[in-house]
Amino acid sequence: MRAIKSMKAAAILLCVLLLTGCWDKIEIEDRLFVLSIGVDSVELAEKKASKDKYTLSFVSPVVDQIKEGPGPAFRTYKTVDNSIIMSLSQLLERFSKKQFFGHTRNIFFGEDVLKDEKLLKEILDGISRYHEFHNSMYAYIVPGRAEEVFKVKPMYDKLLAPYIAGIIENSDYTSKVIKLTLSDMIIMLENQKGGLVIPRINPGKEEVKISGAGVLKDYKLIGYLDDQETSVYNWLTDKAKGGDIAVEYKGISTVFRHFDFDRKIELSKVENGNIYLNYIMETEGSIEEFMIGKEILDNVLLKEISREVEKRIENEGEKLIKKFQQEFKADLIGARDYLSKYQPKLYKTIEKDYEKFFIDSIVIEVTANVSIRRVGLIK
Amino acid sequence: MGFLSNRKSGKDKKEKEMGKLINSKNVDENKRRLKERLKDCDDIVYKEFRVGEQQDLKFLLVYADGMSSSDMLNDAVLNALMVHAREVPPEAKEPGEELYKLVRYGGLPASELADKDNLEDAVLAILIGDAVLFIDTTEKCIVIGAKGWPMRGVSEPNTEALIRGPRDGFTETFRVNTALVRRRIRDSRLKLKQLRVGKRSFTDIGVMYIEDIVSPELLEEVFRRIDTIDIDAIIESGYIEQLIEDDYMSPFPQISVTERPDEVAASLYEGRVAILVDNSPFALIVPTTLNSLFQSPEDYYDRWYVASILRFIRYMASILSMVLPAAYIAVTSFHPGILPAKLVISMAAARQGIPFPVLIEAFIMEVTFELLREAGLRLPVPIGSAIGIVGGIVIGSAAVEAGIVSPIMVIIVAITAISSFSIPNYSLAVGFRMLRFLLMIFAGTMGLYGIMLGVLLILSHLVKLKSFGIPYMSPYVSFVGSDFKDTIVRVPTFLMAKRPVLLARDKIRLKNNRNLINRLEQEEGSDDKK
Amino acid sequence: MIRNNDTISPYQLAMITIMTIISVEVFSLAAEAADELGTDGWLIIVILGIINIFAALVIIRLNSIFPGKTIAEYSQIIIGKVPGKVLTGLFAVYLIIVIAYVTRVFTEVVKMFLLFRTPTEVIMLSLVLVCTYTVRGGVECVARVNELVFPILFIPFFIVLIFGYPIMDFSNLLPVLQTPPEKILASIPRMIFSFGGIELALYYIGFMKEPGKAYKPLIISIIFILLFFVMITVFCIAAFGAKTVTKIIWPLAAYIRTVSLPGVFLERLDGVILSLWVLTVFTTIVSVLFIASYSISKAAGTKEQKQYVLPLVMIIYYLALQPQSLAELYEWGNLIFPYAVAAFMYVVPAALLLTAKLRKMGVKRNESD
Repeated sequence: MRAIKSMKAAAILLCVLLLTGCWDKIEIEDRLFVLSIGVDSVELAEKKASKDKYTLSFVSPVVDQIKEGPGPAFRTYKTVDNSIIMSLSQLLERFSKKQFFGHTRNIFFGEDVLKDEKLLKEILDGISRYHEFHNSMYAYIVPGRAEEVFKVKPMYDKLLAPYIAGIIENSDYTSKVIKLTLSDMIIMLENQKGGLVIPRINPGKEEVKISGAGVLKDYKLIGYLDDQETSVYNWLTDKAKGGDIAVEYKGISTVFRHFDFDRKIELSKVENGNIYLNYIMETEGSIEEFMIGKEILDNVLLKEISREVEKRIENEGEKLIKKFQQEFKADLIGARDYLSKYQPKLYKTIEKDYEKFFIDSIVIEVTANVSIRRVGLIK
Repeated sequence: MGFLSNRKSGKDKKEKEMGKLINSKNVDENKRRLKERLKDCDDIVYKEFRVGEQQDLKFLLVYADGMSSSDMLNDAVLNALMVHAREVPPEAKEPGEELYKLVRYGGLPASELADKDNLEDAVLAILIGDAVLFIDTTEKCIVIGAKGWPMRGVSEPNTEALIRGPRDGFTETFRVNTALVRRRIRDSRLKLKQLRVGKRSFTDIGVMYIEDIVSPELLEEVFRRIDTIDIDAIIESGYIEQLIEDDYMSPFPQISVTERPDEVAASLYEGRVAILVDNSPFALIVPTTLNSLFQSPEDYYDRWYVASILRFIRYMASILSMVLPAAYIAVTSFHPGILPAKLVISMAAARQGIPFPVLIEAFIMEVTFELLREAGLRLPVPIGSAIGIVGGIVIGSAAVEAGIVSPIMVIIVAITAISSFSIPNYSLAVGFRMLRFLLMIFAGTMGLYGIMLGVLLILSHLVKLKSFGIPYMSPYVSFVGSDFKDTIVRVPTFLMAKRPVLLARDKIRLKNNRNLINRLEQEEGSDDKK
Repeated sequence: MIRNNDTISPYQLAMITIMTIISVEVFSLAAEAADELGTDGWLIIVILGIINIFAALVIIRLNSIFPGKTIAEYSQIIIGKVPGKVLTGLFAVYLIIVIAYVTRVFTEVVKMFLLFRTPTEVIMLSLVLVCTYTVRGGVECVARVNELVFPILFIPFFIVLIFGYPIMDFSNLLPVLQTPPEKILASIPRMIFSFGGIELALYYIGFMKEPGKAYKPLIISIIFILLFFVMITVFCIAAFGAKTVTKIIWPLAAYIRTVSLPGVFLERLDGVILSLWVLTVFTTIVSVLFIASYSISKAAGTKEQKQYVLPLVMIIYYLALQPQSLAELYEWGNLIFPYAVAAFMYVVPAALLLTAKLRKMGVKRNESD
């Protein structure tokens, strides 16, 4: 019995000795929160060693100034190195507080980085692997250098990152803005064999504008979509939620607003070695703008306007599809996804040369169903 | 006021045999012996008087002043004796014996009389508060029940005040307490076994139970444990509690303590055993489970959803009081990623310039609060409460101003303190307070993982704990459905049909007659009284 | 009724089974399943579950013809005293390896997500020491702790899982049933370890007061585990897609990271959920450790098992530190466990049952209930 007791005591003592260090404790005021990251390929002028590849820029809030006074309360800084993680460890040489990436909301890719396949793959691996980065970060492409974004001094917000993230969340209201998280990005790149559509952010002086998108194929940037095309892209990929569609009806500009947008894909037929797909777009909403003096609360009139909207959707849709097929030569509109899931046997036959097949032998038709339910407050 | 049933162990018997000195037939000799034994006890009164026509029959009345009621003695003894002595024929051969019989069997208008024939019993009787009457020419003496010491009135216990519920509470007099309980259980099967514990204090202890509900093994265990007590004095029920509890090292109390007779009565109905101790208004109830420590009698007097909400709040509060500071430490020092960005930034802003790490800060504030709490208890009421409030506010804000602690810490500590006040049982609350510090250390070392380990340790300990054979965590473990009706949620009264399964026999206590209430066109004459 | 028993109730048996089987492999379950069969990953779990129900039936049957005895005791009856003790000893060795493995995997997970710099030794030691305290309380303590932890773990867990709904895309599970049967059969041995733990019923049923009542709890718990595993696999594949999920080491953790509870101010829940996960690993270790020390005490012929716990823990600690890396750890696991688990879960009970039947041993069925 005594042996047991002394063993117990020894165990407890051992515990106490081992527990004397709190290895992971970092006080909250000793942390520097990094809210956004920008990745650029290094400019020659800044290259310190021949191996350097990246410039990483960071944004951190200045915690004291958050409450007081107007104006932004954040600072930016950057590092140059040949790997993500090495850049992060470089920061330890310069700052007394330890960077914390658990709240990093945004990651901006400079154009150059997305044009370089190898660079992009390295970066993505580094980011996915490191435990502190959260894969719900929003990803953007910056035409030009990512560090430009950090020079913006927002008009109304104190911090840059929530400002930008807030714009992204407007994607619930407008289909011109795409919301892309890092995990979505990685999944899409994996599933679409290096193809991706990534929102574009244009930095200004006091604001940023998120409109349009960059298009990647085989991990390389191949072009852009403008904001109108982006909204069509959202329709085609079932990502759109809310938005406004402007049409002209008998010379009058009118706007159709929707809060929901559904896309279904159907296989129409397989003929002559071609696959005919039908993208069915369904939405409903209200008319927001017409012209004083004309009343639109009329069934026939509304049906005609809705026909206009449908035509608009169908035309734009087919135009963009052609662009993807012929200009970008990449299937980023979900056809492969549909075929591999819903038509597996068919997909197996074309899996090997899918790219070529997509360009030549898939014919996509867009059919839209628009219902106008409401017209606002006046007739 | 009480006949003794002696349940002494063998050791005591020997002592008695040794020290039993039979009284002498001579009153003066008895008086001398008493005075020798009770030397320097200046509050013992020796009243000699003679009665009889010729005034030749010597009586000696001995009692302790202050413990016995002199009014009663005057009426019962002196008055009566003066009368009766005349009834004895003066020529009787042994007038003492005759007189004794007359006096003993009908001469004294006192309701409690007993005979003793030895010094020990006589002395004990005097010290208990009874009066002893010695009659010349006989060695027998009469013990007259004349207890009458100053008593506190029956009033609401201030540690267990309720909004709704009876306002009587136990006092320090044993007999008053037993009466308060018996008033609520007018069943002949309510038993009260009295014992004397304490070699010098001879404290009265009463074990109360309802015979056909309680489990015989439990009862046996209770008596067995009380028998093992070998101490010189029982000053308060706490002594008994600590000497018979299962695990003295545990921070959790295994015996309930209450000042309320209604709570005792309710526990007896559930099959528990109550122990009342003289000189203490705190009754002990065994066995106890963690769940019962969270119950307050008010839960049963109010309606069920009120009770359920309050119970739920109590459970939440107890968890908060144990875990909140530790969680705060873990989250800020180890895993700030859990909090949203805005909160984290404002926390970091609040902590700028604070020299201490969060763990130390938490300890400082907690210890300060504990000091304040203790100080508030010791000071007289008008100053005490003021100090509590003012002290808390002043020290809290002064500390924040001085930059020693952050405002969030003050809030956390305040919430923790308030939560711990909502736990009905004081010892349990203190147990939680202790464990809070333990968890804080765990949190400060290994963050959330440390807290989990600490919680698991506490859980394992709770699960191992038994109170008189009943697992402490019933009904959460080994569960039986019907026991769950009275845990976090208290179901409506008409559904609480069974007694706690582990404790009681005679399971069914209530018949569900709810449907009889709601039948409007019910004929007259249906008896809904049950 | 004062009970001073060392018995467990049927409900406790179910809880022990569930909490023991669900331990560390749940994190990587979705990745393994998707790795084997792609979008049909969940299918293999269903199949395994059904196989294991049969295994459980064999085990219950074996125990019911020796009521009140654990395998340590009746194996000595069936195959003789010395072989019985050897078998029990082997069992103990197997269980020790299991605990070491589980401890190490869990420590790695903790180091990845919660505590980065804290030395592995400290994390492991603190965990096993807490387990020691619990196991020394005997079978009642073990059973009750399992009972208590079950709701504490599962209720928040289910809430968090369900709130992942926005990120899930169930079409990721299509196409279904595209994998050829040969592939399915080949994957079964590799996934066996996920249901490992049923063999403990060989012991725990012996602690029950009425072994005849073991059918319902055991079968129901296996079904529960089956559904739970399927749900996790389905959710992970739905959230990430079958291809990506195979690349993540611990997809369940990644899934939880992406969940955000609406309205609650807590954002990144992985810390919270991983802390809850300590509970399930704890229960697994505790259940297994108890049996391990019990086996050793039976093999050595002594009465008490408490004194073996601490030495065992030291051995486990040493063993758990052996693999040099996560990769090596998984290699070892994949090498040993398919055979060991299959042996103890399928072969041993079936063999013992057969032998007992052939030698006409044990109590007849209608007598034992």
